[in-house]
Amino acid sequence: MTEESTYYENLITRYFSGEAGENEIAELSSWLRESEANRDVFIQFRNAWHALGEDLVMESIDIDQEWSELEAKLSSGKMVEMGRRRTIRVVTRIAAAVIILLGIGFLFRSMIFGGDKTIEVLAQNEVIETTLPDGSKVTLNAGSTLEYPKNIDENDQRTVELRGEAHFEVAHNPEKPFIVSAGDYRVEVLGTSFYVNTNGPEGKIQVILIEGSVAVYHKYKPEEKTILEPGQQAEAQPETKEISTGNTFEEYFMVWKTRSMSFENERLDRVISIVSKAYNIPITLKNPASGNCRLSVSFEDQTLESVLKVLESTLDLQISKDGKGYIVDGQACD
Amino acid sequence: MTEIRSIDSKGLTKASFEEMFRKEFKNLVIFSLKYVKDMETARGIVQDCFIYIWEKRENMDEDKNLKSYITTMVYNRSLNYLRDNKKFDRNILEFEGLMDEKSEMADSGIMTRELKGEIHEAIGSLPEKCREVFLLSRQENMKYQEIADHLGISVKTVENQMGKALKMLRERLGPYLPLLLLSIFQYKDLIFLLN
Repeated sequence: MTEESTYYENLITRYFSGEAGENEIAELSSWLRESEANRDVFIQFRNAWHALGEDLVMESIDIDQEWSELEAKLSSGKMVEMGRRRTIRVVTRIAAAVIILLGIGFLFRSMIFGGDKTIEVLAQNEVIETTLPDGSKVTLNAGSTLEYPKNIDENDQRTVELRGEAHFEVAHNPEKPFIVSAGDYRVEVLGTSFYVNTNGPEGKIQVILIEGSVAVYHKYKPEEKTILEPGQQAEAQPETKEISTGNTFEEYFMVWKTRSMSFENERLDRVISIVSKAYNIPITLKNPASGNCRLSVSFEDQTLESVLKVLESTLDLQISKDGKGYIVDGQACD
Repeated sequence: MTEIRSIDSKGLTKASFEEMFRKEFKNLVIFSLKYVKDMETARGIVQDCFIYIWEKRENMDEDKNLKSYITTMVYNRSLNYLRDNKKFDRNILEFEGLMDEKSEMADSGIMTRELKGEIHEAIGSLPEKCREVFLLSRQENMKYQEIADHLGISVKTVENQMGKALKMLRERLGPYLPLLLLSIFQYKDLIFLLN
């Protein structure tokens, strides 16, 4: 076991270590052609080398560092991209549905995952709208993910999994209930239009019914269904497994989809927070005292730039870009 | 199988590009390393391929399978490196099973816990000096000369320790090698057999 390695064993090892030069490679090549026995030794060394090495190589790569190195090299291209993005954003919302229909802008990737074929839709930087194979429409807020089986319309139940915020318009089919899996809770759809947020206030799962009828239940208590009426909200506690219902909820829960806002003598800090939610961009008040100023204004699916311009001129504010977001500066009102 | 659709205003977003990078980078480096046998070169090739993809993202066919596209690019550039550095020998590459990129997609890095444990034990059982040299080569990606300088020994000694390490590891892992042989490079098959 401890016998020393031979000349050719060293040569093979040199070859795999990347130490062998042109002449040594030629030497190894002709030695391999000499006999089957030589090739056997070579193959065994190769297998041992790969089996032993990959784990170590994997561990030696720091993926975060690799990414920042790459990102630095991309930086010159990044400027171009930002400029291009800005112009696109204005038309994105109109174009989104068309783009999806045309199938442009999809990046397909396959990976071994075992089991059924599922589709995962990620809304990355933009709100996106997608139509499921059964005809149901889903609007996903940026940063949210929806997963569903590819053959959803062939199953007895239409089950989709949501992480984040979405609005659903479910295609009616009483034979095949539509079920949204939201954390440990299930929203079973008996009708049409509703909103689900798995990241609700205080970690709650939020369901708001707009039209039709839905049932909400914990996954282990499917018999204890809470049926919602249109205009009602259900809030589910992850810990206590309790579901409470009510008619009062954030008026602008869907503002990221509609971008429709109508304020009547509303405080500036509240307006800023809704606009921030609508455009998924951080906006901060430099002088928190100025949050007490009030204004009346409506916006109907306008660009962020035009919304900010209106705010600026209405209350004599200075709005400036700050990194990814905006800073609003102004005096407090009496 | 899971398909991921990443939908945005443009085909390849920064976020989906980063996601692909984080998911595939290591496997592609290991893939390239099988050809070029030098860690820095393999890293450079894979980094360059990602940069190329990013720069050409506008012209990318959106439905194209990016993973197989980039794998082919890494394969071609790895072979070009060997040619440019006069290290290309078709004969040896064929014995290694590397002349057909399809024979070995960049899907390695999958190993059973059992085999991993065996491997760690095998490395642990090497004589101290031998293990030290071997780990500097494989884990720290040092060249023979660098190891010699680092440990204050001759390059010849490094060479002998490396040869000995691999020989001993091969013997120690003997029971597994027929499996590796049976499934030349098909790690998925290997896992199937071990399970």
